[in-house]
Amino acid sequence: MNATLNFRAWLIIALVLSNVVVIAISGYWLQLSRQQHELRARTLTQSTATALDKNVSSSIQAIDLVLGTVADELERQLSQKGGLDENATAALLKKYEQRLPEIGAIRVADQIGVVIVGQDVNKSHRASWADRDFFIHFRDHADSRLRVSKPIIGRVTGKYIISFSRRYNYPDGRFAGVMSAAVPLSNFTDLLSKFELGSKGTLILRDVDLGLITRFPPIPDQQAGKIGDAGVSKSFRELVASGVAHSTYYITNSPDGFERILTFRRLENTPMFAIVGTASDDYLSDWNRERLKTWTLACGFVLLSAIVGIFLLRLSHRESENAAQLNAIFALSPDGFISFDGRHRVKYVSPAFLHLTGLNEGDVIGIDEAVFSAKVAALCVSSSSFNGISALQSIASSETGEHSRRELIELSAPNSRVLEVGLRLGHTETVSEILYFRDVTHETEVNRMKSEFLSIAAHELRTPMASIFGFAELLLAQEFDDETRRDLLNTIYRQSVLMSSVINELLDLARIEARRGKDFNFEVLNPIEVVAEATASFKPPGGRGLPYLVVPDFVVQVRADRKKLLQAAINLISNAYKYSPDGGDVTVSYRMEKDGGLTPFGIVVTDHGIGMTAEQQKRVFERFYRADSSGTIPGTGLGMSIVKEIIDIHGGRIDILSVPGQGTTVTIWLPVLGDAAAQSQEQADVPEISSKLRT
Amino acid sequence: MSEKILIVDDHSDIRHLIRIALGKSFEILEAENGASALAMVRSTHPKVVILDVMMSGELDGFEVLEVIKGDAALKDVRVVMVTARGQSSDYDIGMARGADGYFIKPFSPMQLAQAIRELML
Repeated sequence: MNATLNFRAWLIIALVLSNVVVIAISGYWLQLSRQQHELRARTLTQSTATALDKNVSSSIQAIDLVLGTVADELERQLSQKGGLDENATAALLKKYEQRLPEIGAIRVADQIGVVIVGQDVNKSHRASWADRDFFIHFRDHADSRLRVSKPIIGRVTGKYIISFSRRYNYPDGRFAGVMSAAVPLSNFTDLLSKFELGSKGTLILRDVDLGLITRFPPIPDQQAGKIGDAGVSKSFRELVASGVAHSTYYITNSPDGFERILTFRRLENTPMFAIVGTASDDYLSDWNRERLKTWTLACGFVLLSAIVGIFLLRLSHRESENAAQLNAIFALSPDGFISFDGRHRVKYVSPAFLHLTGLNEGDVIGIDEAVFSAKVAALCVSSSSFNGISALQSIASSETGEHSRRELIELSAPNSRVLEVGLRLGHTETVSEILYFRDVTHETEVNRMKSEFLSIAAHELRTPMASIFGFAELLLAQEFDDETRRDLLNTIYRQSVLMSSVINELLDLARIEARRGKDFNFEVLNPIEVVAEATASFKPPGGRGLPYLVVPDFVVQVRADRKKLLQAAINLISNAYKYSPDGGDVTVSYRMEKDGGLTPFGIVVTDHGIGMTAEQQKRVFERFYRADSSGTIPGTGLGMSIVKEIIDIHGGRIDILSVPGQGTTVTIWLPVLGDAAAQSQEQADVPEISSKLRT
Repeated sequence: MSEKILIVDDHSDIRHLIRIALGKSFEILEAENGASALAMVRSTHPKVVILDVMMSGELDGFEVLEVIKGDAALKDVRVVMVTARGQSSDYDIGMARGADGYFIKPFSPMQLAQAIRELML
């Protein structure tokens, strides 16, 4: 049983540990994989930001070069001609617009801000840049560098543009005007759209004040998607404030609702920030599939191990139940069992075997057949030793039939008993053979008693038969005088009567013992009446007087078979006369004991005959036992046996009080119906002798 | 002087039967138990002992037989068992202990007498 529990405990521990290990490995592997995917995403955003920086910077450098060339041409015209040649300038601007298609248009304004040359310039209605920041800056500052504006509505096109502007001067260095390359904002948006960052990636350009220049994909319906909107995350703002050129960070609540890894970068030649982000839904999509696959496999393993575990536990449970059943059977079986393993060593010993032999389990577990046989043989009496397992095996191999594999042994004290040893050969590798030990002490004793009884019964029948047979043969073979012949015939008759009595009483006894009262006709009766009937019907031998019958002063009822009770009473009265051959009164009386327990009513038969010794009293109920050894008192030796059987079946008992040479008192005690106390007085004993009645 | 024959049986009828069967050619002695039988064998030295087995008293017939046959002084005493013990194992015991004859009750008194007479020769 403990082995089974240990197996179950280890099984559960192994299953739990294996599942924990599998889950831990899966989790660790997924964590590593996620970190790799995140690292890849960070690298992607960083490289994309760098590429965007290069792209924008190279475009701006080209614009700067173009504007620088145009400025040189305008300043040359002012120097040589004293004014601008609008047609030549327009042609020049057109040429550069064709060379740099990302530029929407290049226009030129004079010193008061009126746009004088350029694409779509309407001479009748000239636009003015006088209020534009870049114009005011160049008018008021002798700044020759390129200036990039925030997104503004083009005065000519009416669309959002980014203005790249430069100042041009008169030959004396005075401010002559401003030229501006207007780049449609959509060009920047198109540029952003060319980078691949996944379906939920984002690219953003912001100005130095963090206002939105453009973003891809656009989110025009949200505030964060409005041009100029400076609503940025706290982490981004802090990074910008820290002055770092670029950095990568993570946000969970972007305006469009995605988690992203973002890289921001200050563009090298332009007052802009590029923000490049890829969404976790994109960069973790593969990882999510891996995760699903991994957890599916892990769950499959857990499920499989659970199924296998449950199956094994059920199997173990069933095996332990079977083992418990077998153990209970073996523990409760009165027969002892020993099983030997494949190496012919004792593997199992049942409790009954230990009880029968007095051996300890530790004495026999693990020992081989020869040692085991020697141990059992040592327990046996010398006349009935154990021949050993090898003898049983050789018998089994040389003869057929299970009975040939049995042997009777008799153990010596203190475990005196007769055991039947049987051998069963095993048919499995784990059980080579099984020995069983059956306690047949009782059966052996019963058989011995039966044999003894038969022997005695045969003797008791053969003896009168010998007289009958012998005297009859003599009468036939020899001549005798009349007196002798009559004497011999008398002997034959007397022995015939005796033999007939023996046969009848043996049959009576056999019937009573076999049926155990099933053929008794129990009825409620007054036993005093039955005894009176027995007394009245009894014919005292040798002309002796009838027994004294003491009439009680109480009434009693018992449940009894009238005929059997009558037979018992007659046997007792008959014995009283037979065993008082010298005469003396035979008295029949009754007792009712208040404290008589279950059998308060007694029928008492007293004689004043030869009596019995204590030893004779012990044997008085044995079959064919006779207290008279002289042979002068007739009888079969079965009468008291029959009385005892009858009274036993009535639930009663028999007391014998006897003194050799003085007489015997036999009392049959019977259970009564109803309240015994109500049927009697305090103690209804034998009344005064004067009240005796001779029936 | 006629030869002595001791009849040992606890039943007087059997002793009486054998006595009649043997007739008056022998001096018939009787004992009803093993102890008195042994005493009489030693005191009277009979030629033949007709011995029952199952008798009241401490000694049964087989034990008496064993004592007689084991006593060198009684080596010429013949013992014929007459008993109700009729199983072959009983017969084997009797013959193993030196019985000169074995009769099972009920027996023919005529045949017993014949066997006794032959032992007397």
